[in-house]
Amino acid sequence: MKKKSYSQFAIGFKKLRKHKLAVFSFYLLLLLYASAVFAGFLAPYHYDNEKRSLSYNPPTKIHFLNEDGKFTKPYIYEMSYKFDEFYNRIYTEDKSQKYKLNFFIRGDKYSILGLINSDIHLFGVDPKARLYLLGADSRGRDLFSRIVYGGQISLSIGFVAVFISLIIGLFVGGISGYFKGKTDTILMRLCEIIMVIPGFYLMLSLRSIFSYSLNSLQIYFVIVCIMSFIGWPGVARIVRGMALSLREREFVLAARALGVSNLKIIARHIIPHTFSYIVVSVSLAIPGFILGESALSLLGLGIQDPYASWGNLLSESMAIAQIKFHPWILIPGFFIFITVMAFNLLGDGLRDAFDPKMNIE
Amino acid sequence: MENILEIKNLHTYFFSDEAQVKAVENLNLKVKKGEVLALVGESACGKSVSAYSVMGLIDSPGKIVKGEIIFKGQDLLKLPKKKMQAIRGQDISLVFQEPGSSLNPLYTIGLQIDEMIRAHNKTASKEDRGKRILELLNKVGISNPQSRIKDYPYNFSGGQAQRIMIAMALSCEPKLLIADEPTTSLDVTIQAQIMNLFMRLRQELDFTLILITHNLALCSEVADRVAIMYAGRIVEEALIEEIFKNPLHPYTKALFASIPQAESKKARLKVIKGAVADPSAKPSGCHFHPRCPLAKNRCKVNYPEYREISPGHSLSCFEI
Amino acid sequence: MATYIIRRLFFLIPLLIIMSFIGFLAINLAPGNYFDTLKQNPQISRETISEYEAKYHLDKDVFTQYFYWLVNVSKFDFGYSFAYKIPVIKILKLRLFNTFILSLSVILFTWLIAIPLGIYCAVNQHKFSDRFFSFLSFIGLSIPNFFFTLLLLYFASKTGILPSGGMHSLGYEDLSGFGKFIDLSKHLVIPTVVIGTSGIAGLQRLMRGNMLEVLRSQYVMAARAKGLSENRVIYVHALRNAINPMVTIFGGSLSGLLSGAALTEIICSWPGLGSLMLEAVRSQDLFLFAGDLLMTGFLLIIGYILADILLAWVDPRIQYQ
Repeated sequence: MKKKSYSQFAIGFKKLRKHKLAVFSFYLLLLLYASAVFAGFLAPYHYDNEKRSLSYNPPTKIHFLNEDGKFTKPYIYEMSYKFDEFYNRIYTEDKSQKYKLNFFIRGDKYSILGLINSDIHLFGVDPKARLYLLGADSRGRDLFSRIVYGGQISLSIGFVAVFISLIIGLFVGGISGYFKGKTDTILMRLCEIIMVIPGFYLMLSLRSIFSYSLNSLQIYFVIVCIMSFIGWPGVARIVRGMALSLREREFVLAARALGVSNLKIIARHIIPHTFSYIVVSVSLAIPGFILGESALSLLGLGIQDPYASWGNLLSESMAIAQIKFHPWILIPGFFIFITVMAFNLLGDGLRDAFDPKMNIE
Repeated sequence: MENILEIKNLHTYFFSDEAQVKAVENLNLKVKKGEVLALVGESACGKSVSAYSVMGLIDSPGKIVKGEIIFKGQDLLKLPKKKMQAIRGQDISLVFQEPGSSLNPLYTIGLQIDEMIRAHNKTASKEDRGKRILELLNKVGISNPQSRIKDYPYNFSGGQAQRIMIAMALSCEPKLLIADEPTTSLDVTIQAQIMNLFMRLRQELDFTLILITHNLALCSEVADRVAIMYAGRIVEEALIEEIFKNPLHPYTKALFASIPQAESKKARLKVIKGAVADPSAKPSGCHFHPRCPLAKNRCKVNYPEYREISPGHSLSCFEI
Repeated sequence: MATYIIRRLFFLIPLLIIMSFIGFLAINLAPGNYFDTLKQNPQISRETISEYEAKYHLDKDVFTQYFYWLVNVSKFDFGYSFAYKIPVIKILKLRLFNTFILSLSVILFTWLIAIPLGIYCAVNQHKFSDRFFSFLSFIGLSIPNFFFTLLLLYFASKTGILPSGGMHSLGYEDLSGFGKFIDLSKHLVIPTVVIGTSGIAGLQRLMRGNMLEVLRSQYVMAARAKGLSENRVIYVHALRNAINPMVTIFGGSLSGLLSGAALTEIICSWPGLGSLMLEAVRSQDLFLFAGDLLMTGFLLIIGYILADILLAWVDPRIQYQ
């Protein structure tokens, strides 16, 4: 009886398709990343487009019905406010003028990846009124637009940091497992120490090395460095374990007998074999990096206003009284939550599909 | 002679998403009181699963789909859980293949024997149980048992651990003992010691023994009767002298041909061509036909009926 | 056993040293000269600065500074906080205690729920309740600590059932002993639940996995074959073997616990080592910084040693290794 043979990856993908939640998470992430790339087009306003008079404007109601209860094209009203006895603004709809929700409307200028420059937005309203899909922040900026722009930083930082820690981890782990002996002991002790130090304390210590008055690009870079520094030992240790077992395998022994150089063996024979592990570990490691960035920005040590990241958008919620009166400022947290959950589900599915040994039912 | 155990038409399957594994299929077996029956076959042929079925140890994803297991006039498969639990260890005992992993590593061996006695004899006092444990350990040849009761399994060698497992299995004086490859994982010299121990204890304690093994040579020394299993079914069954003198089924013949013989001048050992049938995709008809030298077309279509050839000698093969 | 713990200390003491050294290293690596900035601070008197300059050799390189600090620490002098203007040890003592209370509460909460839940799910594998808890676990694992804290604080401030942050209510000092306990417990609820949830989710999954693996092992089948009751098989034979590896996890989980606790402390305004760390980093307060890291390391080490003792106690094989 001859069975059709599949490559390891074909089998893996076949199994993965059975994990409905993992597949769903994959598409969800794809959507989130796409919206970050096309943030300018998707967001009705620029992230720094403010209108201070509309501070903490609640989410705008979109009306689908006429006064006489018939369906019509969606429209909104302008908002006006009065102060209550605690000097909180109480917003009400000003019903004198309707503003239609327009698609492909001109607005703030933006650029997509520096390639496309435009001022056409997917949707928006006449500039006399303002559309706050998810409410406004303290300076009257559209939270929805800021979340969409914030995704650019929050979502990309995970990828960049994971990529760098992978490179370091693969390199150190490969060397450690391949050379064994003293090199191995020293490198692994180093990894252990870094892993044992509580991540948050290490993160703050590392952050304190850098100045607090950096521009946004520098801060982005600093955060990536910090996250990669915390992340690489985990990768290195697992790669080392795999390298230790791989180096005794026939094809590595054969390569060595043929006189192939050590570095070449590591690059050609050991690292490629850890590939399925990489796929799994990347998807499981990204949430940690996203959370790290969010935490730093939340505490005011990361991305600074006016730039938006999901973490610094949440920092307004640190004053509990603000959440009580304007609960929508918690919404960026849901985006972090959903992203982290999607990565976890995807990683779980990938692990089931590609690495049955790592699976714990 | 009276049958102590009668397995009728037993089907034990294992279910997974992809496949249904028919580990045991239409198994019929009668075990006579006081005899030593050897159940012989290659690995993964369903020997152990048959034993677990008798013990009521088949758990999800496995299931006994059909059949009867008659012991002392009652069908074990129809018994409520509690009753079956009382029979396990009390009336039927099982000795596993790997003694090292059959003992719980975190409890002393004394405790592990004691809990078994207590489970079946709730009235026995602590002193009585202690005495009984010492007596058992003595019987199976553990030297200086008093000092070893408080030892943990990792303090014992494989052979010693198996002795302890045997002591435990016999602690409630069962009528039937099933030994599932009891010596396979042990050294050759230890194997002989353990088999001798079985034989000695059988004379002392008078129990019926089902010996599951893949080693025909071992059976020749101890068994009264042999049943040969292939791919989840019994293919031949006869008294020990009969099967050694006159093996009929092609599979049995092949098994005998593959025993190394010291006096044989032929240098090469005969092996059975082909591989053991994959239990999740068994060949059609007679499962042995792809490896059988006598196979005809009908062997590929139908499974041969199990019939008695001469008194006490049964087999299932079209060609004999 | 004793040698085993001594061997562990060989790993743990360097950890303590490295952690506190990070404090010195970070401050010295930071842009600007720490000592010069101090001198320019009008709030700190010349005399104080000269005193510490002499005592800790603050004008020397980082290794010398650190060495003299260690010497003083061995005499229980942790230095002076230039931000608080009191000796660091006075702050640390209180903060260490507060973080210890919180960690203890989290550990109890986590383990008392996670272990039984893991067993329950393993025994009821694939049933509805198992799937339900697995799903909850997933949410618990994925919800960011800080976000969960904010959600609960929002809930607390809306309903008024629980205090929204802090460690004591106003007028705490006037309460009776029992009243103090109740007040403290109320303040512990939100941080404990937040930090504990991700822990429970992770441990529950591990415990369930261990238990399923052990339930398939041969000695569990052998225990069944002996005719033991199902309860005895599960709760005596399987359980202890499944819990054993969890004890190792206990030591390993402490670092993550302290890390998660720190951020939650900050958001809940719990005056512990974590929120102190943020203050020390923001004010670049050298001795507070290093002292805080040292204390955190100290908590970690206590936990590790406890875990080792626990492991030796539950696993008879350890003593012989």
